[in-house]
Amino acid sequence: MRRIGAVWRKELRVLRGAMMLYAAGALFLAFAAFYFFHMYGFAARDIATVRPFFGAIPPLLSLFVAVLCMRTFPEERRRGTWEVLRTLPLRPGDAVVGTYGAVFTVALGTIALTLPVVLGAGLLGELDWGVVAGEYLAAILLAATVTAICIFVAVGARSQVWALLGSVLVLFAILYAPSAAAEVGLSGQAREVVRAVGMAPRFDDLIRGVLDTADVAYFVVLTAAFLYGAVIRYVSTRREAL
Amino acid sequence: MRIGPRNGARKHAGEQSRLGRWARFGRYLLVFLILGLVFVNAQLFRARIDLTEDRRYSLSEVTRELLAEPEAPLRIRYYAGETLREFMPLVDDIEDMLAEYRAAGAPRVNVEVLNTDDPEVADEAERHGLISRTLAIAENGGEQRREVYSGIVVDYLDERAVIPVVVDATVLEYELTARISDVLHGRKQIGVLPGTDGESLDADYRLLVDFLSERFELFELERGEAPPPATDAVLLLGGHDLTVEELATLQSYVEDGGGGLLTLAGAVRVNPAELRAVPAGGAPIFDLLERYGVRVLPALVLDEYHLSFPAPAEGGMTETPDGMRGSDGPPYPHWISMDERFAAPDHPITARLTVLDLMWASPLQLGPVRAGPDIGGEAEPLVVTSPESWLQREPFVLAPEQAPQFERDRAETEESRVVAAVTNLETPAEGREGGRVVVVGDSDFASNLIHYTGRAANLLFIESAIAWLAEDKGIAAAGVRGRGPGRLDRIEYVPARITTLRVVEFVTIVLVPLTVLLYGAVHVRRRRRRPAGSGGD
Repeated sequence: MRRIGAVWRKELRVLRGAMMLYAAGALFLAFAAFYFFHMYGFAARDIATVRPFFGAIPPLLSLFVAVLCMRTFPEERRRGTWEVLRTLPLRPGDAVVGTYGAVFTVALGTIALTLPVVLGAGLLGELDWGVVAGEYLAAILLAATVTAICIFVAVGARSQVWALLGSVLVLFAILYAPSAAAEVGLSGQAREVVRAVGMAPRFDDLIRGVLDTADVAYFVVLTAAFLYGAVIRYVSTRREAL
Repeated sequence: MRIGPRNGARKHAGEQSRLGRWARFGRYLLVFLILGLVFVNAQLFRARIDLTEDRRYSLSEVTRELLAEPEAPLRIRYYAGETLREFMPLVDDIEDMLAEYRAAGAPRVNVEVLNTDDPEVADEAERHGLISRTLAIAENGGEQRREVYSGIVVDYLDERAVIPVVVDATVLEYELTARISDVLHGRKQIGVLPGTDGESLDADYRLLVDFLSERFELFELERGEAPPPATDAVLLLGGHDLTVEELATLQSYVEDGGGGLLTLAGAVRVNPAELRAVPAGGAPIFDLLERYGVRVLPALVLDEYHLSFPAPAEGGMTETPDGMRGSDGPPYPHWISMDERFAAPDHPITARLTVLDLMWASPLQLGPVRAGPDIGGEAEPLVVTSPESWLQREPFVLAPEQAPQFERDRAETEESRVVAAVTNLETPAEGREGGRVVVVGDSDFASNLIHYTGRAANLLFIESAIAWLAEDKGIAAAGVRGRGPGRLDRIEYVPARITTLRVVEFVTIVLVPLTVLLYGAVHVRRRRRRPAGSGGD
């Protein structure tokens, strides 16, 4: 744990020193709020709910986390510190989990900064706080999974651009492709099964205020699987280098 | 001399490396296998926690049990357009509820949402009997009219049930579960008994019969005939001319068998052709209704919320409306037009009610059930008139040309009146179900006179009432759920609300992101200025 903590602190310092983090965070917050108040039309619709705001989170958070992950392993490669990292007395899991923890912490901090939107909406209408709790839980679970997927891609990416493109591609495929395929080409039980593979329907289920253990398990298992996959990739890239 | 491992040692190292690779591969496989098992297990043994304050996504036990019954796929199709979704939260609310059906009935229950903005889908909806509504949309400075649908079709094997219009998600569970029960267990058997001499289903209730036959198995009961055991509910039309003996079979059906009875009976006999009315006092039907806590008073209710007289003022009405509608003639306070403000919002019968027309209705006085020592309960109001309604006592004046006399008794009788009521009979005996009775104080409520109003509202009310009476008590108890998110009305003073909105927008769109940027700029700049080795990164 100590070694993971050390990596986590070091990665957090690196991220906090990157202006790109603040720019991406500011864009994420501004666009999410702008979408909610102006594109969705919160006031015009006159409904006391912040669900559409959280509904816009998956694509925005995916882009934000993908940008953050560019600054992790691919950055080490770019700066030539990758070899140094590999020679440190760290187990593969320490480096991966520590880095994951740092990105996840930043993602959580950014999600926390959305509170003014929720509180502001709560000033105007009577929100259902049980649903809001579900919405934040959904956002946290999504952040955990999205971060794991981006770390998985970033570990093996040769450059920052590939890390960004790869992450976005994989994320959007897992988020939307299954449900889109189910709606277009399938019917009946097959449609239900394929639809259940996608992340977006699970997220939608959570943000409407229904906490399903199957949905929570989906996010947890997916996070663990990609994180473990990242460790395997890290080990294999180290072997390649050696 | 060659320096290096001997052949044997090299081979041994190679084998070890190969073994190590296999071991690693096995370990990876094992981890993913465990994760896969956890995932599958979680999908099979799932628990759902409804976090909403009003538990609006918690399906009732009876719905869950019903959704576990299908052995073949049960298909639920919701027809709604994106246009409707854009302007009404209803579509999302319904989809949310349907998601609960999907989750509770997985994998047998399939839910599809079909976009009726596509003309082919709209045609399909029309073929299934869904009813479109016209939505007026302000667009590009003009008004556009669009046909929108919001209806549900349930299919199971060869059975089909349709909810032609879903206007409110609050009673959706009750309505949908009832339809699923219909396709799984067969349609409800409804006995219909015309209780006024000279009236027949064919001649006087054709519209009603055609409408109800779409959903129920209707059969006509003979006077004095006991409803067969399979009867799910009885509809009594009028009833002024039924004798005590003839009513005894209905009394037994309700009190001993726990059956459901809908009675449409005013205390005034009206002759629409001559526009004359006399009290129907003393008829045994009123004694029977008093047993169930409903006293029908011998008067007519008139209301400021009314229709127009649907014929020339100087003449009575003919059998056919000849194109006349309730808005064509002079004001006619005897024909009351109610809306949802005057109906019980939490009862499944009236929860989706938008409008209701009463024609020469009598007021009801409600009280406790008097059906014997072992039957309890109390009548509750379902529909009331407005506070600006009044009574007309005998002699009754109906003709529009006598309009000045309509308000004769207004001064001393003006107040809101109950015109429809419901009674749940309570029986202390275990294993014995108490019956349910719905009373509307209007004998013409379902007659062909509804041609004149040109609206199907009364038929929808009767359909809801019969469905509620005919359902298992469990389904009926599914009742009405929370209305979902409220409006943005926390700040009542509109200018203050707008100012608050602008401040919130400014803070969230500009201030917070700008603060993040500024903080970042200052932080990064400070770190760059920090000399190397001073504990920086």
